[in-house]
Amino acid sequence: MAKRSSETTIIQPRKGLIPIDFRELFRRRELLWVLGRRDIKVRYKQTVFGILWAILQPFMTMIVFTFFFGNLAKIPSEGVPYALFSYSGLVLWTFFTNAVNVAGNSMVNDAGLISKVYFPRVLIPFASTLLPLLDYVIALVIVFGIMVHYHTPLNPQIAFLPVVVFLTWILVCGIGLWSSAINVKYRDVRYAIPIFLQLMIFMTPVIYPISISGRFKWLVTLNPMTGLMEAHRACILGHHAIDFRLLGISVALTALIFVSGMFYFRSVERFFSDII
Amino acid sequence: MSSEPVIRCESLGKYYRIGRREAFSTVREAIADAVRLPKRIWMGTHRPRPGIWALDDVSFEIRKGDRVGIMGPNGAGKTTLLKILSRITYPTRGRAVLQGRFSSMLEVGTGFNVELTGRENIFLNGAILGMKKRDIKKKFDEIVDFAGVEKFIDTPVKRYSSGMHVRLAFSIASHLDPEILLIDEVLSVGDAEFRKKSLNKMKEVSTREGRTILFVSHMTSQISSLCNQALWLNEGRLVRQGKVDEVVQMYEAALDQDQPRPDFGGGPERPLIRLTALSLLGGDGLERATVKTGEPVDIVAGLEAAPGTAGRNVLVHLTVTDRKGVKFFSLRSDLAGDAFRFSGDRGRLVCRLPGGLPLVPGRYHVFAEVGFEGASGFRRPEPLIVSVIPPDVFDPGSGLLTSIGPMYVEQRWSLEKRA
Repeated sequence: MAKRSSETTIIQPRKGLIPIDFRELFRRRELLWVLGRRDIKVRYKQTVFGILWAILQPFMTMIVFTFFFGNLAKIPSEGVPYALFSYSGLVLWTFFTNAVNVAGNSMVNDAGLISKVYFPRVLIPFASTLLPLLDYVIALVIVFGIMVHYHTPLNPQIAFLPVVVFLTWILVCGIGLWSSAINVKYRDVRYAIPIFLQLMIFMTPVIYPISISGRFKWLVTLNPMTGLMEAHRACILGHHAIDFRLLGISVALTALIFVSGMFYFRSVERFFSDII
Repeated sequence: MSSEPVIRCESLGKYYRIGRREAFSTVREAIADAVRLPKRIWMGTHRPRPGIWALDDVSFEIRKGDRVGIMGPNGAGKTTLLKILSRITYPTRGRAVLQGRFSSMLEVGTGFNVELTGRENIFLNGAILGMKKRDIKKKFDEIVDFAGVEKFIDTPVKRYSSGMHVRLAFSIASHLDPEILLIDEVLSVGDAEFRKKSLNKMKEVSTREGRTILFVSHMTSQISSLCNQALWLNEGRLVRQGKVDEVVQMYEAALDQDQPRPDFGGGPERPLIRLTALSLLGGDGLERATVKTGEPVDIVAGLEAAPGTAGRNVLVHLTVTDRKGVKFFSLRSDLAGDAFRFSGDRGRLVCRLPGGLPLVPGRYHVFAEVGFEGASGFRRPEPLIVSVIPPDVFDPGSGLLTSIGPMYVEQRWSLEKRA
């Protein structure tokens, strides 16, 4: 039986700003999970460590930082044991840096797909962040282990944690839209991203509380990760209330990066397959 | 069958910049270029990069249920047209309107991941090609059955032979269910029998469900067997559209005319001997487009001579190049010191390669030149395209093949105790 379809596609030169085709994105949403699952399956088949890997990265960093910053430099940690304080920040930071890194390279890595088949290209950087997101969830389990160790009680603010993680994911996707698209055109961007991320950890209250940033507080506040990082820690540890003013700045910056990233990506998407 | 147009192209054009090795660059280069630009404009040495219209003012309509073959020599714009219609790239000018759901297959097994199992790859590849998960589930058994890989469905694809790999990929694609299907030369891989099975399957679905197919191929024989309509492109322009038999006939006639007319002693207008066919046969004597490295093959040149040439010695030169035209080696009928006396007006000269093609996997072109001894050669511009795939002795997952250079020399190793 021939199915009737009134679907009409018009193909013509594209110029200027192009609106996002949400209907199409929704129709192809399955592909987001399929591509994300591909990365997850391949990773867990290829590495013997699998799950352990997700935990080790922030955990080892935490050990090193606890020794140097907690024990030697005696950085204050708002009354929380420094190990717990830094690890609860490092899990989110690890997610952020890993996801931004893979998203930036995602378009180039999937060049074979882009030059051979059509689908909404934004799904590629989005899907690439799902593996780091899974790693984050696994690493989070260890946070609760450490909390048990230090007899830290659970607090009601934890209900807000999924919102913070979702906002971080949106931020990561927004940065990924920019960096993956630029990386298609300028291949040295991929070397710049890790360096930039490495320096950014000192601009973000990951291993120190924002209270010690002093007269540089305004600078740290302009970093979209700052509000998210502070809120993330407050959700888990409950050592102080979530600073919604700080979080609000992060949300505004995140929205700006994501929406502009969508438009930028869409406007350069049309020549991806010609140059990739 | 209705006659509404499901594809309408209105003066489609695609412009490509050329003259640069890579289209992408680095920020460093971009800054350096920007700094140099004012000086170069001042000195008058600045020239915008040249370009080429890969597709130029192409207009046509395709009706529902038609199976349209797109033919033309290399660089005619066939793939560019298909890429525009499948929205992989955008046109520079003009527009195209497609009615109905469509999907495209520019390559067999796009997005296959060798670490994943056959089952996982069916869902991955299906989703990439635009199938819904429940549709894939519904057709899963049919896909596996058609590919004949039941026993290996939970084995990682890296353990598959190249034949199984192609069959699985192809099976997924031929179970796609769009109203318009765009296919690019993918049928030139895989073994002859499976290729035929896939062609038949597509043809059957097309006639039963009124599916429209656009099919690009170098091989007019494939186009003739699958399609009922044909488009002929040359240098980015549409030369002719019409019934497949007519267009194929005109295309082939034009190819013959395009050939250089060297002096064969019979005047430049009438070559004394010409090539009617060039094909590759496997060990089973069947025509092939794909062979394994080192697999015994015959290359067969069909010949037709002008009257009154009986008894003269015929020479055939076969030159094997890569896709860019870099020559690897030539096979010459006169090298072994043999003389082939040609009697009658038609015949074929067979070149047997017991050690096969000593080439690493890839696509190669075989150019043929034919002539009588003592006269200049007559070269056929259209090459025979051969896909070479890995032989069974290689582990298909190893990176070995790309690192050994362009040739694979048959070798047997042994360890001996004394020097």
